Amino acid sequence: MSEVIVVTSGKGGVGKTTATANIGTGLAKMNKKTVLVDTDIGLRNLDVVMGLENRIVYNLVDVVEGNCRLKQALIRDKHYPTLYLLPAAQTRDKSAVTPEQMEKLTEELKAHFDYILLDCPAGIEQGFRNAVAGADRAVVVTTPEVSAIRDADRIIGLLEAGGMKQIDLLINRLRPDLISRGDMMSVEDVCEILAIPLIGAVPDDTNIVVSTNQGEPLAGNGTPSGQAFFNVARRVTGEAVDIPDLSRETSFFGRVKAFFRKG
Amino acid sequence: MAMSTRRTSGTIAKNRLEHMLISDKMQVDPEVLAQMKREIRSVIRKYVNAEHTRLDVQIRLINETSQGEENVKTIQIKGL
Repeated sequence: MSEVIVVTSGKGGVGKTTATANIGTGLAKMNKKTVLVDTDIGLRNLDVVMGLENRIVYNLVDVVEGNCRLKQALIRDKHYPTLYLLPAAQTRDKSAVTPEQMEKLTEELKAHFDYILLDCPAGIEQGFRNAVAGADRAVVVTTPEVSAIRDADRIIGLLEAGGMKQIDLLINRLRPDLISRGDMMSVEDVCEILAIPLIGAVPDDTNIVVSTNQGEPLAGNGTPSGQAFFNVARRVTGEAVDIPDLSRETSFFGRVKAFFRKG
Repeated sequence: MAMSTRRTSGTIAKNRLEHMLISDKMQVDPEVLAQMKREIRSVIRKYVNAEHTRLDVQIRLINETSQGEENVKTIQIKGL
């Protein structure tokens, strides 16, 4: 049984594309047949994060308009043979595709893949409506900031009103050092406000910058964010994986500091 | 212990956010909502000796439609 998952956020720049790339890579690492669909028509980025920008011949709009067959537009990942990308068109805009066409496309993809991950554009306009149209479940990405959480709350409201069956929360860019001294909302704070199940907590990690520079997602490698994203992928498949407490410093020095602060 | 009650920027962020979301959901201006909160607090304090107590108020707005269905909005106001 295959699942169509939309990765969305409302606010831009919180890490939707990074999350999509890394959850997809994590799923592929578990040998799941996975396709990443960039629905951000006109502002495509997922190809760059995946390091596949030089292999694009056809795109999503070409498939929808019948200029090519679905198989011709799918790009296989550099490392994982079960991972594919369907890139967005760069020279068109969101109105090039309708929600009905997206539903048809995801139905077609379901025949070939276990997981279909849709990278949603920022905003609540047509691009958002297109992306959520064919989805069975949603992962809402936010950072622990007031503006991002406010937008996430709005998106959750829209998804619920639209009848989305399952909505999970992914909190990105957490800073344990700031949380432990009270200068950032904690995972618990964000969960309490948004009141949907948590599927992952990813620490802020400079390795992400390096990974994006190189076009090599880091899910599953030894970095903190790579591990966290891989755990998100495992939870997506239904595996029960503990979410570590990112409110505490993990370094010895940090723990000593925290101890004295409490006392 | 002192950590949780101290007004750190994290708790300020959380309070601002909660206020904003209630205001969005009720479609009431943030300023008007703050006034409403103050009035609710003063009414409760008028009848209940609630000194040194934190008040959490839950308001349920229930819309009855012609089909008899309810559209319930729950609004939590914490730490009055």
